[in-house]
Amino acid sequence: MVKILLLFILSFSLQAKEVPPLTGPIIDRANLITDKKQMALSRGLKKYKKQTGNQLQILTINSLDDETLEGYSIKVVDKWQLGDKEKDNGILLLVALKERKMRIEVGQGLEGDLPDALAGRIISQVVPYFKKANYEQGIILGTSLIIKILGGDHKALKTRERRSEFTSYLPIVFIMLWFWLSFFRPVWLIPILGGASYGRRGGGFSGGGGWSGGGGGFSGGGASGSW
Amino acid sequence: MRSIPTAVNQVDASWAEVQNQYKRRTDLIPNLVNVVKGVASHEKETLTAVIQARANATKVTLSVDQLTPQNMAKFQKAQQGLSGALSKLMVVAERYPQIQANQNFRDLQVQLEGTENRITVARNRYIQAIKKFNNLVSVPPESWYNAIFLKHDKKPQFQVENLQEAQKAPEVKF
Repeated sequence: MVKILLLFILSFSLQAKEVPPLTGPIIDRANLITDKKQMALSRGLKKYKKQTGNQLQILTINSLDDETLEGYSIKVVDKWQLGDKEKDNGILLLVALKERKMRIEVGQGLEGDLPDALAGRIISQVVPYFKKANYEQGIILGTSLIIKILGGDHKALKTRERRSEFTSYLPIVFIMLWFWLSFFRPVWLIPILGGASYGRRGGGFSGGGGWSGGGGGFSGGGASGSW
Repeated sequence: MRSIPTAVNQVDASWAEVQNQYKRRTDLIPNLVNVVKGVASHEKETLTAVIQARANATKVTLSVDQLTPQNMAKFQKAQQGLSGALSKLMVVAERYPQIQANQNFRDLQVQLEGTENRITVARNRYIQAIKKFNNLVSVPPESWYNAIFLKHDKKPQFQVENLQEAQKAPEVKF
């Protein structure tokens, strides 16, 4: 169940849950993603940023500590300023484990490509995985759906029948693609992926490749859900 | 010297954003009403109340220069009226499985939710901007400069006049 309190201005000034430092594309405070997948996903997100400029960030936390999901989410993106200053093309996928809530916070510049309704549909596809405590797969699915929709592929969200079949193989394809890209480095892709700077450097998720916000602005767009 | 004009610009921008997001909400309402009407046209009272409240809310728009405490109260009252009517509409909609099953309605619900959140964010930013502005025009040394040259008055904050009412405002369920 998702609650909206229209006017909760007062709570804003009282909220105190800290925002972790922005060390990489995945900040997994709730330990929902294995190291191996984290490495692959992290590398994929760095490449995605290089290719498209869009900065997609994943944050999992154990608890919201009495903050509202939306309040904490906007606090995080205001601090991190994901995305480019001119383009405002940042996105945050936030998962709060204890409260069983998640949110996709969309930067101002991407609200057109990923409107609230579609963000909501992505969440409704991820929820079944979270219900089964299959967080890793859910997060990977959510991430890949965000990327697909930003790329204009709305079919990814279509029907229920296709969905079950689709979701079962999509994460695998996605991961295989990363491995393929990282090990084989097809020559024709190198200019697109940023040449020599990808490869070894992307190994670590704290520091390697440099990951920081670029001044992107958010105005509260996106969608929330719970499981 | 430049801090006060900068703060004025900030107030202008954040107020424009507040109005913009409230407008976004009023723009969503016709679609929402239509979906509910399609299934539950006999819920006339609720539907008319929403349309009426929307009309009231669209009537009250304020430019930055018109931001007096009285006008602000009027604006808030109109928007709160709309919030109340909308939350009743959502409660009604919840009684109809046919509405709940409608993908269009579910999308609209998410959009409404997103808009309410944007309103909250815009209001908070306005509050911050006003806080800064009001400090500049009332706390020395900048206030001396203001008193002599610029002569800006303090600008009104958002008031939570009626906290209970605010707390029970729209609750959207899935």
